[in-house]
Amino acid sequence: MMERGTKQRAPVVWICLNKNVTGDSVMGSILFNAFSFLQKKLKAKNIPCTNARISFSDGESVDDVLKKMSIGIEDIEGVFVNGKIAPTDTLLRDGDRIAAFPPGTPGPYRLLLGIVKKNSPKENQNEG
Amino acid sequence: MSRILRIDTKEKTYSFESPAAEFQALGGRALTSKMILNEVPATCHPLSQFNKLVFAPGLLSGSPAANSGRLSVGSKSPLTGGIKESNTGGLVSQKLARLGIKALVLEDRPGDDLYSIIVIKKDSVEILPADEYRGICNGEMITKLWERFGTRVGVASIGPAGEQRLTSASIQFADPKGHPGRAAGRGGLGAVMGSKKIKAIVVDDSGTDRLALHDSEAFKTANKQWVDLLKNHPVSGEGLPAYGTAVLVNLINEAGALPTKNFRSGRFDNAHDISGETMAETIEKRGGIVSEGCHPGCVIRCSQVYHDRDNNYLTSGFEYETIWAFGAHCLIKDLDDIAMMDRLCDDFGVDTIETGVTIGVAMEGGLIPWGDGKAAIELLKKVGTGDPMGKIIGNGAAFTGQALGVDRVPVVKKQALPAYDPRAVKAVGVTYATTPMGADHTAGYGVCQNILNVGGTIDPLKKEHNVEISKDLQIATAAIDAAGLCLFVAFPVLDHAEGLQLIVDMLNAQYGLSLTTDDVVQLGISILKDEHEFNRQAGFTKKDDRLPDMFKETFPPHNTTWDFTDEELLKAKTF
Repeated sequence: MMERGTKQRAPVVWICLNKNVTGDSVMGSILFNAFSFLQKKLKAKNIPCTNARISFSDGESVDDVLKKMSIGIEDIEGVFVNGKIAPTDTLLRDGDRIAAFPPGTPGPYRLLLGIVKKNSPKENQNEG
Repeated sequence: MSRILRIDTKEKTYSFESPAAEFQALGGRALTSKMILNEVPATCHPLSQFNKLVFAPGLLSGSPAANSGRLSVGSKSPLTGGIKESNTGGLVSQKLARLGIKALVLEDRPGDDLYSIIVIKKDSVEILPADEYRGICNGEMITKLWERFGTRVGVASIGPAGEQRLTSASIQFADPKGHPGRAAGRGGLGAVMGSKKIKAIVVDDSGTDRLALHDSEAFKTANKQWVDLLKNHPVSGEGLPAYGTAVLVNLINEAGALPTKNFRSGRFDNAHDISGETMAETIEKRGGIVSEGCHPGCVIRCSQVYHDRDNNYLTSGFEYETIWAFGAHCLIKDLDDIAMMDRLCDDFGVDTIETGVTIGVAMEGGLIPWGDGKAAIELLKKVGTGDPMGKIIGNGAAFTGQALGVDRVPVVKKQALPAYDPRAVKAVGVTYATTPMGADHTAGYGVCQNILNVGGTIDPLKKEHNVEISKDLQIATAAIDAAGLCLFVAFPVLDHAEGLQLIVDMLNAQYGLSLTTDDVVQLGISILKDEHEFNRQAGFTKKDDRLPDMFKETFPPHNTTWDFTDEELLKAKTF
């Protein structure tokens, strides 16, 4: 998972959304990006969301990060954890690269990357 | 009944004919590929008098069906040596359909060096002298033709690259605002048009009636639901209009699949600088247009107008693949430089994917430094001048790689790979390898019912199921191309079961047929069979379905390789 550790030459913004950030409660940091409408929404609130470095505490998941940014589940179609689509309850590890994107994202990879899942609305195809 | 219009470019004559029985039910890519298979000797030289250039509106084109204004252009490709269908928006498809022209076929070639333009109107077809337009770029060409024949006529034209018969030459099409932002880009079809000395085709449907529909009420009902489906889906109704296809830059980069520095890694450090989000912000700031359609009746509107720093028009139809090719592939991070190269490609009439990949190959060969946008622009400008170096670049990645002694040349069947690394999105890699078109992402982009049967989450980094998914995508895409629909309708069709049925309902209502969704799948299969047969006759074998050795290298960040055998790939072509 550290494959990108030496590649982050782009300017990195450090922010801290964790109110408990003092001393030993901080376990590490992630690199966070938001795309498309979500990026616009967060930028409007002055929440860094392009190569932002975010600290987290032990036991926190992607969900916790999203909640702190007031990102609702309806704002999200998928989340990348280290370049792969992953559930939002994935526990964070130091150095993780996280990116969230909203509904409305095109691409031939929608199915390939697992953004569209087996249990999405299309399973009802034979009922339509 | 619709007719086929044949132009003898040598004798400067034309004839209309009723379509042969086997052509009657076909349109778009189904018709172009069938005609090329039947009428063009597969072993002929693509620039010879034996090749033909076929323009065919899709089956729904010209009707009120939303997003049905796509045109198929077919020929034997000067770039790949195989069959080619290149698909485009613009104004020509719907106007040909309303004129009752099922296909326009350019045949033979002149014995002299004089250019003509073809002007098609309701009651006339003219082949007029056009040497005054020699050397003119596509943007200016459309302006002159709109001045002469009226604004909003459909125009297909070639630029200096097509006149030079370069193998990456495109045919450019006027968009609704008269910019040359739409292209039958891939496969060098502009060189075929150049070999036949046709500088431009003007299509004017003034005075024609609306297209006759067999059951207009049923059509109206289906189309209303179709429009709702496209408008209410978040991809076609929100994402594509807001950010265009360039929204993929950040996404594909995040997935570790954005080919960077000639396919060395899947992440570009400056992806944000060239992203769709940055593009949209820049367009808004400079007073450009964030969202517009490539043809009348488009409700997705993923095209845009990008202005330069002085707020003047620079380019339109600024696509993800173009931004990737001149951007991450070449390590160029200035979006204005990339936009300038998109503009130059449209004006000279060369394919942006082929040309961007070629510039990267030129960097690989040490001709200009990696990441040097200004040097890349100067190199590209040579394509428009007839300079020998411009001829090398304009003949594409394989030719340039050979000229410069480069061993990392990302092509299949001599056509440059597009913007998804085959090691990180393996089904797309299978499509690159096995489509009759040469490396082409659009050959396997759509989705249909049998895809959904595959179901579940396919790991793009592993081999499992990726051959099957590529095969099904190729079938679905061929059918969408035959219908004349924009490929992006595939997103709502994927997510909503009624989508495919609505397409079938519209086809049935227009033509008085009783097709089923299975028939549409069978149509897709028959198109691919025709295309594979042409390539077999042209001499293609399984060795032509391999990716270059460079893809055996490990690809970070996911550290995968290309690992399909010939036998595994063959399954994607077995129906």
